[in-house]
Amino acid sequence: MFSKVFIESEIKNHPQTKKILERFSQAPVSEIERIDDVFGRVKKPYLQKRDSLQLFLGKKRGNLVKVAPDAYGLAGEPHYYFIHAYNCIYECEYCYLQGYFHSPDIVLFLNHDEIIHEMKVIAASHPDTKVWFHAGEFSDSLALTHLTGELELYHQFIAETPNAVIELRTKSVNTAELEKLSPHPRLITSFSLSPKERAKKTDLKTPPLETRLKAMNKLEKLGHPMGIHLDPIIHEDSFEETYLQLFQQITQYISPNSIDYLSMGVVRFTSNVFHQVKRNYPQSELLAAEFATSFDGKVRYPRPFRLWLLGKIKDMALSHGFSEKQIYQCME
Amino acid sequence: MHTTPLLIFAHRGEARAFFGHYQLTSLPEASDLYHYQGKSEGDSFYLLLTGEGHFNALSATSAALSFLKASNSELKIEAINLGICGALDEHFQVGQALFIRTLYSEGLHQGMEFKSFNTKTIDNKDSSFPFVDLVSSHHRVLEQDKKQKLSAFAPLVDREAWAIGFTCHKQGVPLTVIKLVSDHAEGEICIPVKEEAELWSDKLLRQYLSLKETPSKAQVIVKTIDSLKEKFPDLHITVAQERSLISLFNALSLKNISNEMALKSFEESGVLELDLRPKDKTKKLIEALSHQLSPLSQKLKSALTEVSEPLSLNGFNVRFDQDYEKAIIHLSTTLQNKSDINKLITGLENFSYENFLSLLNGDIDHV
Repeated sequence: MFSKVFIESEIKNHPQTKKILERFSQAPVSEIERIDDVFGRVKKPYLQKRDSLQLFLGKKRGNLVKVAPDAYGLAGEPHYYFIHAYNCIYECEYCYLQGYFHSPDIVLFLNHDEIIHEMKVIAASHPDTKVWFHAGEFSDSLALTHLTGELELYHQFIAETPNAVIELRTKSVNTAELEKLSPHPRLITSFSLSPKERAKKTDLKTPPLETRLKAMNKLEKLGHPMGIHLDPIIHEDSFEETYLQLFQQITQYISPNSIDYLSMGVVRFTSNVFHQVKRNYPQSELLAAEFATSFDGKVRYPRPFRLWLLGKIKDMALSHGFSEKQIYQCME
Repeated sequence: MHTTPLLIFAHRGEARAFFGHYQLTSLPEASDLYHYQGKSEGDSFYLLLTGEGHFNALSATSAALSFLKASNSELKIEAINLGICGALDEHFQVGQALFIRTLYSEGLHQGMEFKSFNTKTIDNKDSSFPFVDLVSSHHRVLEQDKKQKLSAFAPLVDREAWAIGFTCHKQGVPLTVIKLVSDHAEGEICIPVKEEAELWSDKLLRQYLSLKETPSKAQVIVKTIDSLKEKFPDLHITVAQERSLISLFNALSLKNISNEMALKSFEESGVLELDLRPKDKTKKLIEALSHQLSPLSQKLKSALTEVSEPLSLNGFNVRFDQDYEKAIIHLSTTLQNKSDINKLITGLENFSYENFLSLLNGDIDHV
């Protein structure tokens, strides 16, 4: 999986480092002072993740928890995201990570104790309200948890911090570590879903839709709270049929009542990411669409199309048993 | 317009087979720059010998590109760097030919240059060529330590490619890099290079010839437009229309609609038989292709035309916000007599602002 592993000297004796290295015993290992000595030092094209993906293990320094952008989650409560990894093993054609780090290599930070400490400080600064902490802003929250082993620590944090909520955003089906934990109403796993054929075309290397739904079904049976992100919504000529089919499949595997929220977001890019998409996926069907620069400078479908798409999906959600209260629009 | 290759080598030995295969003439105005005049425009190329290292490569490539552009402003150059390289990874075999994907460079004093350059090869997704990265070093890599350090960034090393990439990037010239592994960067490389020069140069020539045979998608689209002009002499295609057609054919191909399929429905529509100006027939072609590309967009446009009809039929020129991001409508008109005022009032009275707003808010199906 990894062509090379780089480890910071400071964490070379960390128990998790040893476990991860055992797992990738075939990959050559280099010890480095700081991740930044190599990661991001040169501009490494995104698609090199296909055949020369490297792994970096180290400590996150600087801001460990950051304020989330507006309209990131349910309105009315403060939202933050915490950073325990950079980059993702999947390859979604629209992914904003392709314009973000100047490198597609995977970085795993192992100082979860420090990240959790900062989350505790933030939660304490909002004593009268629920505080959301999102994982998965710069990586998939579950995809590598069998290697990184941090879920238990965050589960414990939730149990000890009554006003904190954690959202684990994922496209993976790697729920094994989560299944070992007792369900907690404030540890929510949210799955990003797209119609089957769409995911096959654009969400490269991600598990198929049905496998994701089966994973959700398993978590539902175990009583773990869940969310659904229909994001990004991508238009195609057969959009209505494919999303109708998606809702039928969702309700075949899970009950809308067991879903905490359903968010919808139409595909969008910063101009830099859009440039990267054109460069990395010049043959992508995504690029056949008409895009315009929108109210916030992001590249999106023209407003009538976006609102048409969101309206259609909301109608479908309502007619498949979701309630108005569960649905919100993301980044719109 | 056709592009002319500029083949760039560091050493004459690497280019030996090219000098043997083609009758190259030296250009007296530019040092180490040669020209091959092919039987057709597509066969001609220039060849440059830069000398070894970043600075030689940078200055020679820059001078050659500037000279060629100055001598013929119409000339469209495509650079191809061919040469040998060292492998920092044991997996690569001596004599292996590789197409380079990304060019990195060692920093002048320490560390690495942040900037990297992608070659044109990276955009050629249909290509079956192997993609490999390369780092250019300021000095020959003879020590294990340095080999280790550079191998964190790329598995191949040379002395010139990054500088050539830098110059081509600055001058907007697409670059392809083809390298042959000459050694494993473990010692003095000059002796084997000299011994094997003829063989390696021959391999580079073969790679160059195979590269020439692969047409790009852009070339296929330009060919379609050329054949369109031949097939339908009735159409007059302006430069702006040609640009639209290229972008439409490109977008349609992303939706798996081939150029032939896209044109078939236009041919069957009977537009060619209509009594229209040649330029307007092309306009109809563009509309037909746009409709195939985005039926939803066409639906919105038709609905907006319908909603604004009371205005346009009563003397207003109607314009919507570009990309429809804002729910605004621009109206302009010319008053020539009093009855125009009454017409405009009728137009405004019959115009449904609510329907317009509903459309912009996504209610495309019901208005």
